[in-house]
Amino acid sequence: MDENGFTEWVAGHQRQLLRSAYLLTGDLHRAQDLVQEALVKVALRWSRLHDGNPTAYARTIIVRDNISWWRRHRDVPSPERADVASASSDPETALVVQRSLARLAPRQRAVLVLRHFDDLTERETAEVLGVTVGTVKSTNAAALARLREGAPELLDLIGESR
Amino acid sequence: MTDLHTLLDLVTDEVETPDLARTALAAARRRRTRRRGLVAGLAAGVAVAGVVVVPQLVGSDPDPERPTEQPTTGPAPTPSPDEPAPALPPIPADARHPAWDPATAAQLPDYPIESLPTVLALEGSRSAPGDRAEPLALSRTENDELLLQYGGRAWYGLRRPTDAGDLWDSALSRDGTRIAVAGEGGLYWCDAVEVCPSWSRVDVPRKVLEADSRITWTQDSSKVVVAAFRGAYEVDLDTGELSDLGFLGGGTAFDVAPDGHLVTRPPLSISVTEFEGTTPVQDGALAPELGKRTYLSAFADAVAVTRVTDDGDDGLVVLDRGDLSARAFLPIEGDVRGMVRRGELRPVQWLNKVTVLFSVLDPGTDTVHLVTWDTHLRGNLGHVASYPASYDVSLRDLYPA
Repeated sequence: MDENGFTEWVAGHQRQLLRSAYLLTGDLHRAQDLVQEALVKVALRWSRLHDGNPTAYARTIIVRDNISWWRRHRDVPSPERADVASASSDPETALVVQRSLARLAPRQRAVLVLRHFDDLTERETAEVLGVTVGTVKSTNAAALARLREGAPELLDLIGESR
Repeated sequence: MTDLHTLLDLVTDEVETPDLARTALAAARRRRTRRRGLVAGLAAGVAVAGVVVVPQLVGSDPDPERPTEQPTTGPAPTPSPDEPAPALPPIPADARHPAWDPATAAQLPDYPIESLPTVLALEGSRSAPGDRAEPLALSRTENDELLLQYGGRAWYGLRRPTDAGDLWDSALSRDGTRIAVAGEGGLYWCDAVEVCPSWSRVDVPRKVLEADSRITWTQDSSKVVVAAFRGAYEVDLDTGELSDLGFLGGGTAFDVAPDGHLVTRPPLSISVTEFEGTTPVQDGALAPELGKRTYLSAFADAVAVTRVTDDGDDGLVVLDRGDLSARAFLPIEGDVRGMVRRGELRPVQWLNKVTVLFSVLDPGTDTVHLVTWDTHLRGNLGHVASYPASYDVSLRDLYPA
């Protein structure tokens, strides 16, 4: 295995993956576990992945493992002030955002994070989730609507939704 | 006013990342050559019938080798965000043993086990065993070499299945008579007593095997449980017949007690759930705080479990299988949370009614030590053997030792 190549790739992508996982879970420890597990799986397949798109593979593992976890445990945590404070330069705003995200179903949350944080296209988001582009569109709309209804304070911060 | 991207960026703008590459590489190496023994095989007679498979939530999978079904969840209780967390039973003061520093593992008094070498490493020349004795250990090196150990004799190098590709796991059966390996090429087994003159490939669907698949033998050596995060299956090696054990997925720790009960603990669970077949059989007593992930090893009336808590009172605990009360607790110094998360601290098996064998990594020397813990007395510890951290060592059952 080309460990140097893997290490370089991780150095360039780990922070974005962890930030994304934190938004998916609202729990820094679980986010780190998800990213760690994804990186191990990438490492185990590095010989086949390094010429392709290991980042897309890792992101897909993170998103789907998180949904699997949620299905088993229904343990979407309440945002922890300690996590929020250590993860953001604006903890008060971050707490509002995390509480708002916690109201979403995991797939809605995943679409929101992939589309609006990772800036994936609708097609790329669909590939990560293994759904159709149409499902991504409808899920995104439903997520924003749910935020509009249940978390107006978030939309106050945003001003308008996409 | 801002947009959603900017807001989400603000929520995470101070997230810091530890050295994930180094940790991931180390974990990947260990998985390739994983130290065996955290979960013993299913006991004879365990009826592990199929489990209902729920529809897939997220559609097609990014990797055609990954399973498409999502496993079901076992009935072990987990805290709900809508309910107040129950008060978990504390560990009694008289169950607490003196704290131990794993850096001193190599200096512990010897606990010799007949025929088992104190160093499980490639030493001397490789040669065929002089008889057809049952092997004591199977080791897989960082280069996926498979080596058998016969009670102090030289290692014997096995021929790998020719089309296996990268190996993901290998395991010696509990009675030492068979070896199973899983890898890119599929699932294979061979006759260990005959030193694997040939490998039999088991015809299983691709969904059964993943890069994180782990093999656990049944005690009668006729079947294996192949468990990964996404799910688990029991595979009959002779017929290829599958039983879905989805409740063992999701990082669930499991073992089978001598009475045949499947003892499980999903991540975050506040209990330890036993199954007879697929039916839960105990009353859902609460266990002391154990943490997110655990490793466990079950015996006649007790189970040894790793414990990680928010206040750092971490180590190994022995629970009564009846009421899940703590019988003994070995506090372990250092970063136990990290050790458990990385699989560096695990109960391996029970050597007798009161003695637990566990493995612990000494990161200073990159050596894994097999250590005994006398759970009845004052927590006396003994050193059994050691091997390089890059090895995946799978022991046959050593009970009674």
